[in-house]
Amino acid sequence: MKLRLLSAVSVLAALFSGCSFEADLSDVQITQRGLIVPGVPQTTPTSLSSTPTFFSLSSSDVAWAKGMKTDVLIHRVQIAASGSLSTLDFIDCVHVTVAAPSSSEGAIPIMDYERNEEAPSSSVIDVNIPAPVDIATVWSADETVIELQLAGQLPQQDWTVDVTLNLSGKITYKF
Amino acid sequence: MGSSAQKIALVGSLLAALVAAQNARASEQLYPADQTPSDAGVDDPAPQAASDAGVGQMPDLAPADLRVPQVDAGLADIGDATAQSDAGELAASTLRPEATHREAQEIPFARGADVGPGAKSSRQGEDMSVAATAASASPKRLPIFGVMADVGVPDGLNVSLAIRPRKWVRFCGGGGTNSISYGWRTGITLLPFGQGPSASLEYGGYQDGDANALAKKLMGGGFNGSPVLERVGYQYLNAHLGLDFGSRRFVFFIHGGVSVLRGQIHNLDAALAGAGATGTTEVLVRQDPNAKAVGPSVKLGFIGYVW
Repeated sequence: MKLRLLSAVSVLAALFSGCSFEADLSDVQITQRGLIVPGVPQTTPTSLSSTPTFFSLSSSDVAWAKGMKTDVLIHRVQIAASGSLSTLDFIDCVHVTVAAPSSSEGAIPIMDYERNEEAPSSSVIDVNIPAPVDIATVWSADETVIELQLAGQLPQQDWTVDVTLNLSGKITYKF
Repeated sequence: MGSSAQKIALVGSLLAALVAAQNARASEQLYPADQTPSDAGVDDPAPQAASDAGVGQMPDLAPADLRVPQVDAGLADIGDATAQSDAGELAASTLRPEATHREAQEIPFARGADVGPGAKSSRQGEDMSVAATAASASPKRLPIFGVMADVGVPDGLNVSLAIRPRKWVRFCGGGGTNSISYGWRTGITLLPFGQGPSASLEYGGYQDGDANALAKKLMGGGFNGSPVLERVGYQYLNAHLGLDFGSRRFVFFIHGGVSVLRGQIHNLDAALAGAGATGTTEVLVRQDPNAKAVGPSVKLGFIGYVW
């Protein structure tokens, strides 16, 4: 009787334990190249202006990276000058949020950057986020929108930047 | 996930523990739990005298092993006798009343000359060897060391040294292959009834190997290989229940349960090149992901105990 019981438990444990797979991706880099920032007409030569720009990452854009469903964190944001721009010194402030149009949850602020007046000239704004925010809820939507609010003495003509996000997250499958 | 040195140290520790357990078992066979070494010997009630007579030099042997068939008196009597007398006076004072001095002279150990240290020594050696042979040939003693071979998932094919210090517990350590690379495994199996139902816990690992060849065999000629399969390695932990048949020299077993696999996925970036980008969007995996899989597992095998 004991033999039958134990063998049955063994078989049941094997059958109903199911399968699960989990991959822990600690550094995934997603780059949006040539993001167009609209020019801002200036009323005076020294006036500050701001403009929002955004790009969206859909399941078709980043394919498997959208499979990260839990613990999705953005650790670093890089904004690099591209095209004819040689420097981004004219940008004083950057505010980045992540949102999902289909989600009822509002935009999640990711980072705030403010240029130090003594900072050397650079073509890259590189911000490490010491306390990353979990964006799993908006990342798991089909479409995720990353919005950048730029402020400073912005060019009057359209210009372009490359935006890079460094993320981590977990891909989980259960069968 | 540890280094090879850590793995070797782990296996070494396991084997050392098993050897210690074996020594304890051998000691237990000589000195049963209810009998101390001095109890098993023949030194009471006159330990010093018996020692003088030479009999006390065999403390490890039970009195039954030392009895001489022709002598009705027990060994303790001989001990008493040797305590009370010189060698030549032994027989008359210790054998049963009807035994004459002549009879006593014909009885080994009872004769004065035989009880002397020289003659006694050779006789003692014979008796000890008989006792030792009897102990080693005891039908109750299970062979301890054996060779185990098994096959399963995710274990692959393994050959191990099996050690059974008690009938209810078995340790194993060895190596094998999963058709991709070579690996190692160690584990413990508990058999509460000596055979039949069993519970096992095993830990093993396979070093990185190219799994493309195996994938082509399994998936056919249409499979062109994948960079992500070029380095496949993993560690695994099995928690199994099962059945073990046989108990003495050969054991057949079938185990099943749950396994947890851990490993790194290499070259994922190369495998996903172009798959995760459209136009102006680029996706890179800058660090190999750590992966964990949990699923059912099964294996079957046999053990041949040789010693």
